[in-house]
Amino acid sequence: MASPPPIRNQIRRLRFDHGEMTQQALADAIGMTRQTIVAIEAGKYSPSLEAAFRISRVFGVGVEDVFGWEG
Amino acid sequence: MSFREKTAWVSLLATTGVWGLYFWRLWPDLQDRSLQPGSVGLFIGGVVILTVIQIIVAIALALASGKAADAPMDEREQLIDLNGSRAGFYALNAACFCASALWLIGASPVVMANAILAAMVVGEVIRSGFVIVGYRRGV
Repeated sequence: MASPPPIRNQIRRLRFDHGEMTQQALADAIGMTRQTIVAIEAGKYSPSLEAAFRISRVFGVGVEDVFGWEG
Repeated sequence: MSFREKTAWVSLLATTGVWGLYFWRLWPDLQDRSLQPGSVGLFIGGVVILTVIQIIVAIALALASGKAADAPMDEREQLIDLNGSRAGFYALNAACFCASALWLIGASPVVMANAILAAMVVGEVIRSGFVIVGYRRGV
C-alpha cells in the first residue's frame, strides 16, 4: 500500500462553511464522483492541479487555502 | 461502494468462479494427459455462462446505480483503471510466457490453448484485483 501523500486539505471545513455543502454537491460542481471527494478529504487521493483549482474556485478561495503541504 | 468498484468485483468473482470451475473439471484430464478436443464444449459453456452473468449483473448494477452508471470516469477512476490494466498486462505477459514454455515439454495444442486461457484468466483476475485495491486503499 502506498503511503498517503503529505498533503492535507480543508475541504471538510470549507464545505461546512459554505452552508454544509454535501460531498455530492461539490462532486457535481467539479465533475467528479462523490467517492473521489471522499478519497480526497480522507487524504487517500491527491487531486490533479486542475481539480485542485476547480475545488478552490467552488469555495471562492485560493488553492493554498484548500491544500497544504505537511512535512 | 461505487458503481465501477462493484463492476470490478463482479468481474473478479465471475471470472474466478466460472474459469475456476472450468479448470477444476479439466484438471483430471490434464493430469492424465488425456485431454480431448471435446473440451471445447466445456470452454464454450464457460464463455456463454460468463457472458450471461456479466450482462445480467451489469444491467442490474446500472439500474440500481442510476446516473452514476452513465457518468464518465473522473481522474481518480481513470488512474485506478490504468493501474489495474498495467498490472493485468504484466501478469498476462508473464503467464503467457509460462504457457509458451509448455511447448518445450511437448504439450499438445489443446493443452497449450488452455494454458493461454489460464494466462488470460490470471491477467483479468490481477487487473480486477488491482482495481478493487485501488478503490479500497486509494491510489
